[in-house]
Amino acid sequence: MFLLLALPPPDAAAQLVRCSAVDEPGYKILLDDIVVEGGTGTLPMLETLKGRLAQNLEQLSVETGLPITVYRCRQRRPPDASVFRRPQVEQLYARQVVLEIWGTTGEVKDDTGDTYHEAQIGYVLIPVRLRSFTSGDPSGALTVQRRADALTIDALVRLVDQANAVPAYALLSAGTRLMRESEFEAARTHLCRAASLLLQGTPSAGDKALAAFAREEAEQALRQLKAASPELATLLPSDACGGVS
Amino acid sequence: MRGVGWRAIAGRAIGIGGVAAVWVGLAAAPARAAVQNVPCARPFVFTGADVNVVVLPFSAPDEVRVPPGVGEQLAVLVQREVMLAIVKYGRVGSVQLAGRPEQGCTPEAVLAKLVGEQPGAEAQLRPGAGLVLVWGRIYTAEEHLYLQTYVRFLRRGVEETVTVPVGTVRLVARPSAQAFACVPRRIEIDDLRRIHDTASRQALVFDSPDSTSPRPLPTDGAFSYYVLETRGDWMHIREHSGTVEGWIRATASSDTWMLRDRMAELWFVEGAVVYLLARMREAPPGVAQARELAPASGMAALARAADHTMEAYRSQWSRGALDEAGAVSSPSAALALGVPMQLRAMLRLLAPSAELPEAAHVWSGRALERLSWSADAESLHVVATLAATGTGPEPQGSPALAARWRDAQRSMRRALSLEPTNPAVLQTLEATTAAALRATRAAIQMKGTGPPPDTPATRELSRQLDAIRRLRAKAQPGGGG
Repeated sequence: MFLLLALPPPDAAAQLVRCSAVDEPGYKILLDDIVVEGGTGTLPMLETLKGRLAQNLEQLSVETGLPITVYRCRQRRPPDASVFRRPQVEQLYARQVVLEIWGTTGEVKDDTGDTYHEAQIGYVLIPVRLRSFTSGDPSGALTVQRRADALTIDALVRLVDQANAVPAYALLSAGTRLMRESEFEAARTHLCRAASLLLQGTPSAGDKALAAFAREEAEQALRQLKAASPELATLLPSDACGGVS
Repeated sequence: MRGVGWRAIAGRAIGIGGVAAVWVGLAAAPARAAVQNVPCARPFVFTGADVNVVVLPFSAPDEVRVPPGVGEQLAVLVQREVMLAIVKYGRVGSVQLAGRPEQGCTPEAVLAKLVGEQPGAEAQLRPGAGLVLVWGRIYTAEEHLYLQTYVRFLRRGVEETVTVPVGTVRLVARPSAQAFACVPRRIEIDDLRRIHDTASRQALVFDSPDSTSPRPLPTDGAFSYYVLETRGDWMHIREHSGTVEGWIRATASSDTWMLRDRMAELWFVEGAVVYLLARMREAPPGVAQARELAPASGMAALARAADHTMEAYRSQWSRGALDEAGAVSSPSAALALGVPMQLRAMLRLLAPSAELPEAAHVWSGRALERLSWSADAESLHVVATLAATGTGPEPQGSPALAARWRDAQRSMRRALSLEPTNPAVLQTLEATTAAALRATRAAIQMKGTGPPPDTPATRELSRQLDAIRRLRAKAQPGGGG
């Protein structure tokens, strides 16, 4: 389920605390504060989210080989994805930020008075977001909100698990950036893999849109490769991403 | 199992700051050796071993609280249990590292030192030798420990490919990855207690498995030992300097559970060790018949053993998983399931005399279902399928054979579209294109007399073959690519 929130007050962007890690060399993922909504809530939930995200990011590093370093940005707490306006995104892009992640956890009561644990994970795919300011879609900024189906600790851990989302978004961001840098071979590989990951299981409408974008970009990469290399023009089929389903 | 007698090498292994000559002596020791508590900043392998397993501490994020020492205790238990499992296969070693990430305890830093890309290892992996690197991330939530193990396997300086002759054609393929994340797991608080208790028990050495008067093992600095023999869960060890000898309990097990039950990836670690040993025993490439002449008891036995452990991993891997019900279909488990399947396919291609059940192309097909984005997965499946359907000399002029090669070539072009610079894919694409061209011409020639006419199909294949050869030439150093 996706929840795209309304625009915040005009000074919200200014509230985005600067993270010194943006000045580190190389491509990077910024992991902002993971907070308990309203300042209260169960600490195990918070630690669960942090711990599971750390595992997700390690898996990303191991399995994709992307030369991306994850940096913690303490005290940086985007109120929502819309604070990432063009000036902020351009700065982050210039500093080789690929993805920014933040999250909130908390307990909510529904109309019947039952208590549920909720987690909201925000992502900004910086290169995709930058592109959206000129091309319009997809926005590249999204918030995934989930509610635990039970109050068991396992349900909470599953709630915060981003094992499928993190690599997909990182690959899509990396591929989009590489397209801008005319690194079409690597871009195509990452975009095809991102499309495959985004479409597995039961993708949300937002993930389907991102997958369609990934495939379109992958096709464009293929066209560029063929234009630059008569050999590849001879060899490569016209499919977007081969047999990727 | 009876062990062999080992001569103790003079000296005493000590940790960082110790005498370099001692480490040299230890590194060159005959294998079936292990060492614990080696500082990550100065990692170590047994250079006399064909394959080393190196286990890093399981680490937690800074902000997440875990019971102190759990990560290192878990690493000790993993290293011991793996050692017990692999000692029967021959020249192997296992190393348990200690330290924190800021002290160099990261897989990237350790691997770079062990393969000589960075200075700092007490002993490096020798060229061609195998390494299985194991590390993990842990965190706790209420009464549970959640862990995720990561595994990397490699041979130093060796491309992990398999070369398969299909008639006169030589095809190359490789797995989609040599590192992956295992499925995340939950361990109960009772298991945590058992880990602690077992680690405490394993810090003891007994005169015999039946003895009730243990002595404590040395705890200062690195502790290294040779494995003289095994008996059930016990290993008969002699410490490097010979001053300590006795029996230690090697498995983290009790009457009710085993570490391997909670961490099925230990089966894969064992399987990866045996796979690497098998690769190191095979005939050198380019000698088409040598594989069949390899001692059947060596290569075939190793292939069967590796396949057996991979099957144990496959049948148990979701046990205790974070999302046991959904684990099988989760895309995040694609490599954790797919790569072992690919290794099983490769074992069948390497050791047909092992007579393993289910053909290579069955396993490569299963892997491809999970790894549809991978050019290497597509390529391996093409190679395995061709190996299954055309292993003899090509019957001249068979239209069916020509069609088979053209199908394979189309699949290889699809693979190339996923990774346009993949060298293994390019190599096999060239081979399949050349074979398709020959087979198509032969099929045309069978229909009439005289040399085969050029057809649109042969002209297109010929054009593609030229393109591939130009691409490969450009990719060579100085090739202008």
